[in-house]
This record gives sequence, C-alpha cells and structure tokens, in this order.
Amino acid sequence: MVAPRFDDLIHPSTRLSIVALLAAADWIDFGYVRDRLELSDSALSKQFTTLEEAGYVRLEREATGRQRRVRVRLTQTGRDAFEGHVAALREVLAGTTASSDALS
Amino acid sequence: MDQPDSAAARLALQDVVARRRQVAEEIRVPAAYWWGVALGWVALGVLTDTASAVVASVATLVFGAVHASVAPRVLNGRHGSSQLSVRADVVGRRMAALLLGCLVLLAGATIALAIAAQADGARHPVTIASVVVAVTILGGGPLLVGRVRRRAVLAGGG
Repeated sequence: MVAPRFDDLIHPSTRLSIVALLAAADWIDFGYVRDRLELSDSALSKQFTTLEEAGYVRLEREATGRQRRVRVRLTQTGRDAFEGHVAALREVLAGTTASSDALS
Repeated sequence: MDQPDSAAARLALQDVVARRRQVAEEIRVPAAYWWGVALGWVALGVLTDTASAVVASVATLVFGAVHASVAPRVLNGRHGSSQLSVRADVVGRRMAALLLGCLVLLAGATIALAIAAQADGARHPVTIASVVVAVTILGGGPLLVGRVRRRAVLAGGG
C-alpha cells in the first residue's frame, strides 16, 4: 500500500496523462506519447524536461540508421510519486463519499 | 497548489485509467508467430507421414528448440508493438502459461485426430490432423490473446 502524497509536479493534466502512460509500460517511444496526447514535439519535450529534471523520467536516445528514436522510462522515483499521487486522489474521492454517507 | 476537489480528483483518476487502457490495448502476439507455429505444425505432420522416424524426430526437436527460444519473448504479449513495452503487471502473469497450455492441448488433439483419421483409412493421417490444428492455431491464437487483452483493459478500470 502506497502512502497517499499529492504531487504538484504530476497533477497538471498533461503531465498526469504522460506519467500514467509511462506507469503502464517499461518504456514508451516519444512518438507514441506525442500521438496519444496530440501534442507537438516541442510541447512534449518541455514536459519531459520538467519530469526529467525532477528525476521522474529517463530519456534514452538511440540512433538506428538515419532514424533517431527516443525511449522514455518512468524512474522508480517517478513511479513512487505517481502511485502516491493516485492514492491521494483516491483518498480525496473516498473522503467525499464518506462525508456524503455521514450526511445522508 | 491546493489539493483538488472531488470532481477534479475523479476526472484525474478517470484519465489515469484511460491511459492505462491505451497501453493495455497494445498487448498482442505478432501474427508471424502464429503463422510460424502453424506452418511448422503442418511441416511436422507431413514429415511424420512421409519421412523416416529419425528425420521426423530431429525435425520435432528443432521445432521445439526454435519455439523455446522465441516463445519467452513473444508469448507474454508485452512486445507486440515497436513503440512500447507493456509492463508485466498490466498483462498479468497467466498469458504465457495459458498459451503454452493451449499448445500442449493442441499437440494432444493432433495425436487424437491422427489416430481417428488412421482408423478411418486416411493415407496421411498426421498431415490431415496437423492441418486441422494449424487452422485452429491461426484462428484461435489471436482470439485467445484478444481475450487476455480485454481482461487487462478491464482490469485497468479498478
């Protein structure tokens, strides 16, 4: 059981979507995230830079022939932060349910 | 930043579930695997009917060795997309065991069908049985993986 901990860095919707995708995978291609979230390369790069600076993701660049690929992984720090954040969101919902139960 | 209210928390959690489902949709076993197994199955059937026992035995061992080297990477369904690798906990632990179990059952079905075909006077009973099983593999394999994928997608809803 992860301790609930609201994470300001992850909470903005775009970053939460990015981290939620990464949390379900070992690694994801940059292009996959870009296409699913319908972001431009530069907008997604900015998000990844923020997450990378926080130690939440790791970017691995590899060149195969003329193609350059970037694989992105969630680090253990990022995974812990994500799971804590999700637990905190669930707690908010559970609290609301509990208080409406008490009122009724 | 303040903690979100319940409506914002609900929306955020819904997005988390939707993103996990998107990744789970990528669970698949490449079509080349099913074709490889089906064609190998038929080839072994033909060899059993037409070649010597030694040749058929060696071919079976080679088929088994090639399958054993490919299956661990392919049968878990995590690497069906070139764009990502699905986490093991999203796929669930039973996928590879389920598919391998089905292949063992189909090996038994091949023997049973071949015995039945031989009893019926067929000239190439093992070939007939292996073709039937190969068609089952081509049709049933992707269906089975589809079921596992749907379970994984639905599990993301919790």
